Amino acid sequence: MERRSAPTRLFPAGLAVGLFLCLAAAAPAEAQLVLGQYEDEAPLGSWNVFGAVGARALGSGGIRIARAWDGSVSMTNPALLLSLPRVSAGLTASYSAASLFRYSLVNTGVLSSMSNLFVGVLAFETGTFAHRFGEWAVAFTTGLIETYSRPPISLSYSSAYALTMRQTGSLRAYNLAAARRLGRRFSLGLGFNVVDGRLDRTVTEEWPEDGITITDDRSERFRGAFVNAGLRADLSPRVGVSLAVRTPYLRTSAGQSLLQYEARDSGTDIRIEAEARNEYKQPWVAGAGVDWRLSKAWSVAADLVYFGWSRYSVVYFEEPVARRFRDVVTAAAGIECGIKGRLGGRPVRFPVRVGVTYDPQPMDDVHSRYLAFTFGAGLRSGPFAVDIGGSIGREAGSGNSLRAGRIALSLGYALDAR
Amino acid sequence: MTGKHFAVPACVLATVLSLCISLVPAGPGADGGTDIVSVSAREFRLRGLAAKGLDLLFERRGRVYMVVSREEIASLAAGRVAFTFETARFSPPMPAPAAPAAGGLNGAYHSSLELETELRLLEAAYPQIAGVREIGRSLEGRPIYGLKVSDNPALDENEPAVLFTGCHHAREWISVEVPLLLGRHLLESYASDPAVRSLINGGEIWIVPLVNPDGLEYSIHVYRYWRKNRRANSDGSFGVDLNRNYGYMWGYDNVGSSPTPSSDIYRGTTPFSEPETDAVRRLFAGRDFRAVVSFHSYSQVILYPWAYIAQPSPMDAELSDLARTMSGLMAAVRGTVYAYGPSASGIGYTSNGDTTDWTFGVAGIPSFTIELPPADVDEGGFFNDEAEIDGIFRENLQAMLFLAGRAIGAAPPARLSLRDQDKRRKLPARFKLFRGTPLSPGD
Repeated sequence: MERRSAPTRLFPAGLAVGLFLCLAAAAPAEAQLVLGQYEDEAPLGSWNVFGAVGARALGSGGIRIARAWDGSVSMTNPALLLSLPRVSAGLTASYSAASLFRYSLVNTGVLSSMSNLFVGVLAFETGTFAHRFGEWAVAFTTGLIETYSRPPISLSYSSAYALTMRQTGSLRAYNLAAARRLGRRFSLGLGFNVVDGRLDRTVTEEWPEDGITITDDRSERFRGAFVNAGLRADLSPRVGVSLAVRTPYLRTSAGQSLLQYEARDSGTDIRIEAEARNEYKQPWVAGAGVDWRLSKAWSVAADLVYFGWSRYSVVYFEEPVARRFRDVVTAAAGIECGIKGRLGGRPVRFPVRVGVTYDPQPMDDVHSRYLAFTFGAGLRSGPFAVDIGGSIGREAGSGNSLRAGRIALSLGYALDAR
Repeated sequence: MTGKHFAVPACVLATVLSLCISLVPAGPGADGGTDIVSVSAREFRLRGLAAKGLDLLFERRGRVYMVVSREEIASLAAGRVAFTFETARFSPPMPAPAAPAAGGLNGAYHSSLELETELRLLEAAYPQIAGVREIGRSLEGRPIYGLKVSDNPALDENEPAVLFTGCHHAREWISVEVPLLLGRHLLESYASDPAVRSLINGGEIWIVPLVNPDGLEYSIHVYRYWRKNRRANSDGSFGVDLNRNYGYMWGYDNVGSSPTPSSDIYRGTTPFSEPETDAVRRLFAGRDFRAVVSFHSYSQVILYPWAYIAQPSPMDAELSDLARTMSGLMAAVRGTVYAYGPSASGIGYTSNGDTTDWTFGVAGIPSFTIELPPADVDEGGFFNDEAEIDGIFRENLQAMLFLAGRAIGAAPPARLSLRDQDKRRKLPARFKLFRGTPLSPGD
């Protein structure tokens, strides 16, 4: 076994600490007021969504441009498909939870809460299949990229009054990608994506004794398509750099709305119904990453991703809706250590991962940002792999100390590992 | 036909109605100031209307039909004669008011942006008599628009003026539509209706359909029953009740308004603390307003000062007369009865810092809060069917034209001085605190 000096052994840990300190120091100044006040379409946890993240990527800081952990990298940097085994497949399930303080009717004037409210979503997150042959690789991936659930509200005062609010929804992307090696050092990938999802929101107020019910019911069915591309350059056998981009695209939705007032005793039934084609002009996204394999056991990777949110615009039920957003850059770094061992007499590998993510939110009025720590571990035996990853994030800037967390479990199959 | 009436067989009615159409152009008020009204034959005789010199048309199924001028309508209403407008039945229907910008979540009602679009369209269509002014901006930066309907709208001619406002309270969507449709009607009728032309040439009619645009947007997008503006209060609650934020008797007691920020009737930290009410104050300060109507909903009542205290104002009799006439004009359109009375007793509770107490208190002008239909919560509360918008406007139209005519045509009102008020009633202790303070529209 190769012997290394103490400084060499300590280098990865020192690098991780250094990355963390750099990210912590980069936190912007405190800001104020309202978070997501009118923005039902805000994805739960963070606005900054680029592709889907499996358990391995999640444990490593959410790295998705610098390194391929599984076929889901096709949704961000498809050039990395050429770094996967000849055949690979994976499934990921996740549980995401986030706290919110100010949303919809809550803490915007109608209902007040003394503390943050939590909501959790259990979901089948990604499914992917990738195949590499010669200088080419192809992949098909589906990933749950956004969820819109909100902590539900249900309150009542005896039998005189009741109010309920429900919002659920998600957006799933379907990606078909191909990559080709260009010479010895470069590879290029291109992905085509379609998205499909829905958002449902219902607010109901009832005065049962008076027989009066007010219903505000809205739903949207999302559609959209975009292209993503990536480029990988292997600077050396140990170091590679990557670039990735997602095109801006128009996410449209078929929106339906029903505002209804019913008075049972008088037979009053007043309805305002609307149908509209809503538009969410999604910004372009560009990122860069670096992947450094320090040794056979240790590796580090880091991503920077730019989101052009200043160009985000919304047309909602025939009206442009103001979104004062700014461009933001997210940063992530992760480190992985692969420990070899034996389990039941079979050689296995136990990868362990940690990472950190800095995730500033685009709202211009509130310079809010999440700082998240990630962790993960896995077990790899022959073609099979199981990984678990998690993240715990805390927000600063809104004054509400919001939390966001996720835990993901991935099952992988890799044939003919390199 | 003057001075007599007669029964007609059904077979000739159509011919007579055709003649009516040729005699009376389309729509109430669009005909040079005349309308067709009907009165029950019994009331016609009991009231001795045959001797009034009215232009009678015919009697049919127990009702007497006649052509009347606007002055005669006011006289009928003031005399509590129960009459019904029939013009619309006998003439080609008026074109429905166009709402080119309406749609979306709020249906035929106007959002802030839709209203701006509509006002700009009106201004562009009638540049000689319509001017849109941004009178201020809301807390969230939305413009608050005033539509000035007058000849030479770009000039401040110091003409007598009337102010119609709407939507101090966000959830009262219908209160945007009625003043807006009034503005549209005035502009569209200018060429054909001498009475409207006289109003516009002789005065200024200011219409601020949406005082609370932030609240309205929140009501449309988040919570339909939102009432206040969108002030972020110090205790984490939101909103100031704009109709408790005006300067006259602001905070008189904690019953008619509340010092508690989370209350639906929170009056704010100081009078005119909110940019929305301050915008109205600034508009009011520099002009010679002679009457004010603040549209609200619901209850179907006409209210006049005082609101802050359950005592009659010094002009109680005059305001009551005006309200009675307006109520009669409203009922005549399609039978909708608007009750009327002083605010504090009319709706059964006091409110301080409201719009009309302020305009009446500082300027001594007729000031009315009109709570639009429905009458009660069983009929929809703050909801009105979209199909009802036009009907509610039409039942208010004649009353508004009457009030505007009275205000613009009348001599300037004698400003209420505190001395006058002292003579007429004993003032509450708090009121006396204002003695010696110059009272002007700018207060």
